Amino acid sequence: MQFLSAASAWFAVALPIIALMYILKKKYTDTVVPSHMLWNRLLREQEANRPWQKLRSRWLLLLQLLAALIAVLALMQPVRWGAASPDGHAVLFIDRSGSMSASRGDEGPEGLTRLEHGLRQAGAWLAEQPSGRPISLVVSGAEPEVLASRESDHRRLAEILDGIVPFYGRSDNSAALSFADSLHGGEDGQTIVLTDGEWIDAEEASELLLNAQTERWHAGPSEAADSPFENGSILSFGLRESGSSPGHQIATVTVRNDSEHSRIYNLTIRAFVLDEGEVYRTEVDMETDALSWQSEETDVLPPADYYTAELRGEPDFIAADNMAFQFPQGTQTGKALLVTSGNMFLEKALALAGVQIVKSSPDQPPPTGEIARDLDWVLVDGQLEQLKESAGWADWLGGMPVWNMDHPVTDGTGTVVPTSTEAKALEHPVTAYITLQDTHIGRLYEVGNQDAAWGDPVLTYGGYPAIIAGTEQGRPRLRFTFNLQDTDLPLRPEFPILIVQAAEWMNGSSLPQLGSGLAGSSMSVALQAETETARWAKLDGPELISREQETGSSALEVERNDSQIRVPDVPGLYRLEERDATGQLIASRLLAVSPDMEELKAVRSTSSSGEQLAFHSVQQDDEDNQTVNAGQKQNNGMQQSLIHWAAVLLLGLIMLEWEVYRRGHIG
Amino acid sequence: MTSTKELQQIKGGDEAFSYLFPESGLLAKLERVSLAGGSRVQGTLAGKRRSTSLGGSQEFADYRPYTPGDDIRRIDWNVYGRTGKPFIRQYWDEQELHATLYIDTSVSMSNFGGQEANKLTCALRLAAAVGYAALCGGDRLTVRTFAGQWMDEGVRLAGGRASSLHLFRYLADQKPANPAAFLPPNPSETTGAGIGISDQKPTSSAAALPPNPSETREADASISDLSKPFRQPGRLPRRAGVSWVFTDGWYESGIAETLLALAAAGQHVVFVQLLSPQELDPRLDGELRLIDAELGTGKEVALSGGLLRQYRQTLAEFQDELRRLCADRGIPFVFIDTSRSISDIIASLATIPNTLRL
Repeated sequence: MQFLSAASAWFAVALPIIALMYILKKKYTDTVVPSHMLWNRLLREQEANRPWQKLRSRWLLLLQLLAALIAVLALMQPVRWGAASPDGHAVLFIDRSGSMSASRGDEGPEGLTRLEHGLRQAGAWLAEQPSGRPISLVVSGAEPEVLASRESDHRRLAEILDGIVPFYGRSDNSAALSFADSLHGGEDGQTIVLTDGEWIDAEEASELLLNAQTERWHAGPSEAADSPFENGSILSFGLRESGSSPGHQIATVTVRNDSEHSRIYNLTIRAFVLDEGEVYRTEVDMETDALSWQSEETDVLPPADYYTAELRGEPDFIAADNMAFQFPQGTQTGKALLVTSGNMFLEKALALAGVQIVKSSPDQPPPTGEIARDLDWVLVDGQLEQLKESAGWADWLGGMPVWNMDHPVTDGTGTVVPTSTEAKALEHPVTAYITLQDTHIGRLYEVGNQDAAWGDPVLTYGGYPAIIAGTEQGRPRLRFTFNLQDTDLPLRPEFPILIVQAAEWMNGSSLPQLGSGLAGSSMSVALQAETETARWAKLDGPELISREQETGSSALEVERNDSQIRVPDVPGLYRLEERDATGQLIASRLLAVSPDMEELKAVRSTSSSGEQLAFHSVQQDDEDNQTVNAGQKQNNGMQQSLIHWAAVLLLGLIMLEWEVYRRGHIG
Repeated sequence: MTSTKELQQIKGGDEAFSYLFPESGLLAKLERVSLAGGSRVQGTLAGKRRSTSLGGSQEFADYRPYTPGDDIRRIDWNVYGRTGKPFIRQYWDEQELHATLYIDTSVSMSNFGGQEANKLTCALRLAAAVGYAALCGGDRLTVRTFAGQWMDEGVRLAGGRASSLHLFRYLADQKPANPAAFLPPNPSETTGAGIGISDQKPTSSAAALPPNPSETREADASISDLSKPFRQPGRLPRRAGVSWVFTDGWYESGIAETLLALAAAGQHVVFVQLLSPQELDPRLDGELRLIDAELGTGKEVALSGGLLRQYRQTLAEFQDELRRLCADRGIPFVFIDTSRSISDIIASLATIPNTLRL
């Protein structure tokens, strides 16, 4: 029993007042005695504590005090957790973290996942609720998501329930729980948490002090914990270039067996080329001991755009960790055309940075054919404008990422001699680790406003822009406004670093793929400037329930937020398709989306960690920790006011008091 | 000896007699009883009591050598004949005994004890018995009543049975108007009394007033002083004799002083304390305002068994104190439970030295 209005306990001050009134009461039965003489002697001692003497054996006073006490208790609004009042606001919080995607052979004939099972329970509960009861629906995820707020249309709620799919990323369950609790807005209510109890942040969640009464329902049959756990997962899938044949890859796969006995897993490694589809396939059988892991190297795989590894072996409770994707390493440095009249320092530095250089000079025509196609970017050491004046170069340069270095002429206009050597670098990939302290730059090209609208000066020297970086039409663009031969920069240790970083910047957009990302997380991706729409197209992945399947579409709009984009929620291989305003595909990159292995790992320790999760509600002292199986009585756990009981008790007391009074036990 | 005729005359002629002597045959017993007077016999007239002085009674006291001037008629010639020396025969002087009975008629006496054991009734009956015995013994008798600060003139009676009628009339006049007036409320009656119980007053305040008009309530403090009435002029006996004080002893002060004053007046004092059963063992319960019958003041008490036990203890201490006070002065202390019969009391008095003699 709790009290909602503990402050009303101050009314208890009335109790001593009642007692005081009895003490001060002047009603005495007059009795004449011959003399007070003896009584005076006798009462001398007694009079010292006389007020208390008056309170002895007083039925009426005791009853009145009791009545007043009950009245005070009633004012304190006692409540009891019991049979729920069925019309209060309820928040249904559904844990849809990766562990909820686990299915077990014994969980029903259809092999339902925990989430599916839980959703059925929720649906059954929903059907029992009186119509019009406001119910909010919250699901966990990277961030808690409100699917319905105080929705009283239960049919719509049932539809929403059907659409809930597991979330394979890192779930912030405690935040979601605290958020669900806050939906009550301080009112009385009921929070039902539908979960398997396997939370990474169980400890944190258990420390939360919730306002509303919170009940935990176990998703799935409770006896499931007794059945042996069977699962194999691909812990890692790595590629390295074969030493003997360039472009060929050797894959290393690590498989973990979470079963109680050793298993043989069949591993299929495939190589895909984007336009041609599967080009190679190999199968490996891996015998893995119980509760341990095993690594295996494959044969040399032919060059491909991406590789997949798929694990097979029944029974398997978790499907999300049976596939892995990887992209070949190596073509990061790029191939550049160096247009220069001769700069040894630059050539050496670029070579050090791993850039394959194709040398050219402003006098020569632009490269054509095979050479031109392989080039990733161009470095023009000299006046770009002069080069553009020749017709061949101008067109050719328009389609390439360009890095140019100005050669400010000594007597020319538009050049400036810096008056100080103070260099200021912005936070930028090109200028990371670069300060240009004590570096001398003789002359800088004075950049006009229109000259470099495509980028920002990431490094200023003596107040003038020295390095400008940005993107032009989605392509990286870099400009050094000084001639390397006018500076002592090539002699500085910073120089090779600057060149490496500059080369990486120029390579930036040409990276073939996006790499891998955690489901549901955000990642920083530089989209093309002219990208109007971006979509995820799923290429491959484990067979999982997903919203795309529900909607029948395999494409997903990309949620963009500044340079951050949201990784799809469901593990698999995705292609990021960027289209311009006309709908033309301007870029497409691949992303391997992996589930949060931590979250899935929680499933493995089923029986132990499940007990750690406990909710502490402010209004629940005795009855917290109650885990009610959803199959049981479900309308438990609303606070029930005890005021009317207090009133009944009070009436009874008053009748008793009347009887006492009638019988003259007024003392 | 009293003739039956005379007795019938007394009995029939005065209904006071039946009030004072509800037990038949008591008078006859009383005629054999006399008051113990000790050596304090000093009357003006010759009486039946041997005085401490030598005088002209028939009772031989002693011889003494003749001295010139003695009455030669009192020379014992036989002794002279044997010894050749003149000796004078001396005789005891026999005088009447002066007995004084002081009866406390204060409210605390008159209105407590109920019909059966009213303290004043008991005191009056005892005084009648003692007085009758004194009169039969030929003693002079003075009876006085006192209440509060006041003491009346009383009645002076010459010795002899003839005066007894006066005595009885006087005593019967002092009887309480309504002996049951101050019965304490019976707890068994109050339980069913219902709502009105708190408003019910067992006695009106008027009834609690002392019946004697001369008693004033102003002198509240002095009401509880026993010596006050005795200090009124002429209220102490002029001659040595016997004084009986009948009282309940409910006096805060003055008891020792009174005893001293009486002793100083040559009195052989008998202090008789009369207490009713309700005082000895009060049957009170609940929360009461105890009203002092004389002072009219109230005292609020929540009564309990423990408190009543304490009361009985305090009463015992008080009686011990009185007993010691009397013993220090050679005064017999007589405690009387008023529920006992007079003949019982007389019989037990006879066992107490210096009170009554059978």
